[in-house]
Amino acid sequence: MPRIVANDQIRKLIKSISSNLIRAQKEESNRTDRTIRNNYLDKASADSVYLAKILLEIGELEESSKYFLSAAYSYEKVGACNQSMACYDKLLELGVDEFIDKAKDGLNRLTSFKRDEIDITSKEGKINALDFLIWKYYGATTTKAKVYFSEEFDLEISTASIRSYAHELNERKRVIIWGGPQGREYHIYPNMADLATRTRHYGKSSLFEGSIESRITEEFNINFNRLSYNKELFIINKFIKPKMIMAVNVEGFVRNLNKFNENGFLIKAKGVLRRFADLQSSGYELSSDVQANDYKIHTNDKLDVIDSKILLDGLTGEVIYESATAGDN
Amino acid sequence: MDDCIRIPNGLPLYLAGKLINDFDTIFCQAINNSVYFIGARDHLSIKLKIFNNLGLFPDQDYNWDYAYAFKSEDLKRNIDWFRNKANSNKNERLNILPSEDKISIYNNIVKAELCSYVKKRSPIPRVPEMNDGVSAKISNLKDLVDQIRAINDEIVNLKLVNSELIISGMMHESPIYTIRVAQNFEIGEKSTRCLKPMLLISCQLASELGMAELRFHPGGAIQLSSKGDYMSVRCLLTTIDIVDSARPGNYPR
Repeated sequence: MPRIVANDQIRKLIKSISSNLIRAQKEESNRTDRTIRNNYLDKASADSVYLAKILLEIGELEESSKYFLSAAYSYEKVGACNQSMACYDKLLELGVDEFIDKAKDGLNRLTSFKRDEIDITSKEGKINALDFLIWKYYGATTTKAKVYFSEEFDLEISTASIRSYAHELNERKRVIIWGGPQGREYHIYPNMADLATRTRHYGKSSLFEGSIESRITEEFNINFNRLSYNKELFIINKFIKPKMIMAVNVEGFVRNLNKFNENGFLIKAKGVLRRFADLQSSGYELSSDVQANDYKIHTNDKLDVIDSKILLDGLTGEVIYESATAGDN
Repeated sequence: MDDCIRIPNGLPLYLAGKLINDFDTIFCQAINNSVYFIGARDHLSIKLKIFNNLGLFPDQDYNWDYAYAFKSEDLKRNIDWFRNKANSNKNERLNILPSEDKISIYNNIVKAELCSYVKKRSPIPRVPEMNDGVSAKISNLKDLVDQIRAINDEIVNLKLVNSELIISGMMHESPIYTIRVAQNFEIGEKSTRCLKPMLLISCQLASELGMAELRFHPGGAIQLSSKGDYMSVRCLLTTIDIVDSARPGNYPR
């Protein structure tokens, strides 16, 4: 425990989680508007997940599980079902005895959750309804979200309101936005980067934001039996824990050579979330002389991969590459 | 005398010039005692190697390890004289001298310096070498070039059946052409699809060097390679999905 408290980053996170939970507690009395309380709970949950991941990296399995459970409860309380389920999934994956039953109970409650349970008469209910739609359809533009609201909740809602709710969800790290402002469409995607685990979402489309840490293409051998596309591979980190691998079509790489040659370049990648093993099925196999541990996360899993179709400059939001097959997912 | 590549004429630069229309960026590497020009796209990678003519100069290792990236317009401007085949074929000895920040190319007529536009050492896309698969020797590549040109479709279907290479269009009814392969090292049938312009540039490059080896991999990738006295070319094409190619903007640029 002293080792944990001695870590400055951990100390700051614990302080932030505690203060947000206390603030949320103080807001409990306000039953008419849950927005402020939920905002605090979402922040506490996001910090708890991040802290749990750090604790896991340093081998503190039980402490980590405690924070995943805390995040799961808080997320469940605010109605962030996907985030909460990911925390429960992670607890089952970690397998610490005292948390397993709680995780199973949590998952049972959430899997029986129906969209009718969302109270769309309140602002907070509408925010949760948008969250529900974005995760159900794995992304939507403001215009599409308006249609989904009408179809799924029989609710007519303005695009301005949708933008405002999307911003709220973005602040709470539940979705990620690309596009806007000034009349341009907002593209709203589920934020998978901050999930406790992404296992439920492989093969689905999302947007990830990070900075380029290194190019790792040379660490992979080509298996011609499976090769169908020339790819370049990078490690991206910064906002993403654990790090991820970003696969880029070679044309995207060639057209932005100076950017990719600069470690730390901020990038947003829209594409399909894949397992590490999927790289192999695309013809990229880790060289035997490369330490597989470099790509391993705390469990037996290896780093997740974003197979990017659209790349955006992380600072300006400008599209710097769009694959010919970008519309497929 | 400087450590440099000395070759009898500028033909390799004529070939490098052929890459200009198909690639925005031409990569270049000087490794040990060879210089490589490289082009990379989503379904095509080309690696052109230039080395000392061993019949004229001893094989020395210069321990080069440089990497550059050139904008194709810059390369075009600098090697424009060689893009005329008569010029490039002239018996005019060419010297290629790489250094940290540039590569100098000169003969009695042209003196060019190619500078990388990438701030630091340029990363170089990989052109993996296919050593397995089914191999066939093709001697009449000029015929193959003409026949690919005659196909009206964007996608070309290639089928290797014993001693014959059968090429046809994919989308529309178009003639089926057959090329006799000089040698097929394995009996059997292999087929793949590739984009016509990509196959065409690959065959055009290889045809400048004479006989070529075509390798078919069961996974669908093909490799066309050819070697001369002081240069070699290797083109790797990955199989193309019909959906993939039907989208606008895939090819040409």
